[in-house]
Amino acid sequence: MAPAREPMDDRSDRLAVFDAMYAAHAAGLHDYLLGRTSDAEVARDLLQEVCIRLWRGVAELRDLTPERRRAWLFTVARNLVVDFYRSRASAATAHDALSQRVLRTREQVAPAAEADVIGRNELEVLDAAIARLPEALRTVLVLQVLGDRTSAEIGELLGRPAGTVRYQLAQARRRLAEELRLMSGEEQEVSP
Amino acid sequence: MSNQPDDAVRLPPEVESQLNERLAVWARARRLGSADLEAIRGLVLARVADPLPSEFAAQLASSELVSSELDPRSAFDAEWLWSLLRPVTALM
Repeated sequence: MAPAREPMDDRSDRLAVFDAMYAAHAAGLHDYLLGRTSDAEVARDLLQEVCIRLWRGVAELRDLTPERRRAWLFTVARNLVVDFYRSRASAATAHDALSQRVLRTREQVAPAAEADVIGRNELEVLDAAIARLPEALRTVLVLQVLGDRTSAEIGELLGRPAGTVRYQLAQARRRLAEELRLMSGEEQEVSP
Repeated sequence: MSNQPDDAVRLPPEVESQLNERLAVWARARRLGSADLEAIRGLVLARVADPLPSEFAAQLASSELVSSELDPRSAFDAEWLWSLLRPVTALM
């Protein structure tokens, strides 16, 4: 007869389960949160919140299958994103705030090596262009670009068919190319 | 040419190449590295190790700074107040 499972009141047991799940899912959760919010700072903050909830729920999670654990984590992440948007006046306000932050950052850039300036501006241009994508397209694009994930893997995370993800990725890339003015042969100017 | 439904959204090869290069730059800046992941893990573990609010409340309740006894003279006492004012009124 198998012994009953010991209650998890030992911190080292909790830490072992937490670390295993953190190692498996933290990067994917971050990429998902960045895709949904298009804000690197917010994505890190929300990742922390997901992981705090993970710590609190680790005793129940340890007995779930890996798929159920992943589903639980991404459900928590999705709910936190909903809360994040509710705390803003509207998604348009969040987008405007990001645009304003990009503009303010550009104005505050101190004189620096030309290569550094161009590098920072390129990042700002890409941040802004990716932020302007529709959220559904942006999320699949970020998950693919940051994690080299296949359409099937992204589909599992988001609960969508792989074929839908492939189409959304193609749409995202085309719209991004248009945002960056690559389609007309004129690259978007990167102004200091 | 294939008749796949996503033909309309396929990019010319040169555009694909340029886009891939720029996305690679963005990914290098935005991807969480091992140091970032370790830092976030540390922040999370520090936050969950904080004392519970109930523990703090128990410590506060036992503090000598909290007194449940009131100064008996703090309640309004007309006789007491008059005893303070009597010398003053005598000088008026």
